[in-house]
Amino acid sequence: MPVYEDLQTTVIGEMKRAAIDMFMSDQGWPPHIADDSYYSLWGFIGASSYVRPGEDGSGGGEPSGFSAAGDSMAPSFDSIRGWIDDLTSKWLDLPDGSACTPHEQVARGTAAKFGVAAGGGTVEIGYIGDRNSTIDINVANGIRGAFVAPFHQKYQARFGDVCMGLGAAAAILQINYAAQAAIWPAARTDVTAICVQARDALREKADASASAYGAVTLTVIGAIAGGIASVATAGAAAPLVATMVSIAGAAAVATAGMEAHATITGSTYTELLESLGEALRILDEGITAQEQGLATMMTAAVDTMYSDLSGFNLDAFRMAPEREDGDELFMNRTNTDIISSSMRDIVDGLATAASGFGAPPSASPTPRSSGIGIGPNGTHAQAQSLHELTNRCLELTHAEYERGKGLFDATVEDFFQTDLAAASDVRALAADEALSESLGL
Amino acid sequence: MTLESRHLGPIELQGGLGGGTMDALIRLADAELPLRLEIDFPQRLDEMVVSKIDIALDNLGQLDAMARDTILGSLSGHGPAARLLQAWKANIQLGSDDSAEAFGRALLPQKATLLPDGGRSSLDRIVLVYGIGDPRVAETVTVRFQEGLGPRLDAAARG
Repeated sequence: MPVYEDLQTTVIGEMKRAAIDMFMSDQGWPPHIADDSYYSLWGFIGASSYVRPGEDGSGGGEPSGFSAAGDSMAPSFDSIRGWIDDLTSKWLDLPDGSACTPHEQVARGTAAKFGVAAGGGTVEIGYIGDRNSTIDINVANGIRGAFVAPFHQKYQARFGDVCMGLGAAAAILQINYAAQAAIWPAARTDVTAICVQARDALREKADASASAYGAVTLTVIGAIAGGIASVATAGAAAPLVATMVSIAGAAAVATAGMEAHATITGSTYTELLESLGEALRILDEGITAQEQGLATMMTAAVDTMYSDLSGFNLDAFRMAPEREDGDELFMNRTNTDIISSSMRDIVDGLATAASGFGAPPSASPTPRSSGIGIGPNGTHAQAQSLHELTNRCLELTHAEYERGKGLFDATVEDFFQTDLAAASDVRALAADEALSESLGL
Repeated sequence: MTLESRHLGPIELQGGLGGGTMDALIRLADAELPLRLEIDFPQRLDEMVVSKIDIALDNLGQLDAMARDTILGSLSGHGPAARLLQAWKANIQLGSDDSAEAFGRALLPQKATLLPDGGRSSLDRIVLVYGIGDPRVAETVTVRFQEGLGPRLDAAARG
């Protein structure tokens, strides 16, 4: 069974010769029974003939032996070859999807750091989530006072939601790259199967033997299996995260009800080539529908993030003011030390996540000729947008969380009055706790 | 519009839309031979079909040679070629050459049928019937030239 690379080297050329053979045979000029490098009338009158194309489908058409000067068949042969090229040439340089795998792994790793998994992977709370739980316990056990509730609300509860939101964004990127990595090997398999079927059908008709042609099953339909496009979170998802999860799930049904078979059929070479064109069109529809599903998924994710950035960017969430009649401040060094070091770990974890996530790919990892899928760059633009927005939110969250740690440390030192400057630090940091309106994108 | 063959002149068919025929005489090796032209699709008769008729008749000598070779290649066994050979041997003068080559020279085409537009359902294009020109011998051999296959001997004798 030929493989994808064989299309360019042998199969398309063989298809061209088979179509030309059928074109000639249909008119009563099959290959000569004693020398099949020529076509002759009925295959046995050798005096008048046309040169047959080579095995690669090129050349041929020159007449010889006609009593009146015969016209060359080369223009007709060229027209058939041109038709086949028009149908197939854009399919000959499909990506193999492997360039997506490194980006899939980066996205998966980032999602895992934030307690989110896509495609059925195991969900674990992750390093940052683990430290956040530690902080939770120590705040509950060792600190009282008016500043605790607002601090907890932003730097623990909302921070947890932001982490899950960033994880969901990364998981959606992971789904895009995993799906693309699955779509293109399947598309290559399918276009090879379709072209081989067309070549064989043309050859068999040209040999005037009857054959039944079954449908070619398109493996590209369902390349985004339900499993790829599912997102799971460690723990209950905040509403915005739940929205992201359902957006991901919708991508899996992009091809529900689509035609999953292409049929090569026909009793003349024109009918067979038309059915080849139709089969390739159906294949393109399957690819396009799935890419459209992925593009819609990522665009909807970006829209969801913009709809409320405070769910994805800690800097966009304003800490509430302390109540005037709050409890008297009380702190315990044992707990505050643990909280501070855990916050340090989280700051480092966020920095690692940001540097690991990095910038989006500069060029599409699935480039292909125009006329296939949703465009020559596939879902690259949508992935870039989501990646850049997520990256920016992650960077701002990192900076904001580090500022939050500074606020906590200053509050602690102020309480224990070990640092005279601490009181003014607390006031300055609290004032600095203004929202950043722009993302600087 | 009457189509005209270089060999047969204007093509005028007897019969209806289900098929038409035209009878003519053609020359082959200094003899006249009755030819029946059978057209399966009279409504699709055009210059392309007529040009095939003319190419076939241009090459009648080559076809005759191919037919004789086919007959000479089938002299063993009990088929029509072998029976005609035996009938010929039985009727030649004592002492004369009874080799296969002599038999080959004795073969005479009696009639030809030309079926230029049979399509995939009927592969015969030219049918040549040979006897040995002796009124005492009724046996004949029929050679069918089939599209894509070449000359074939009929297995059973046909009238």
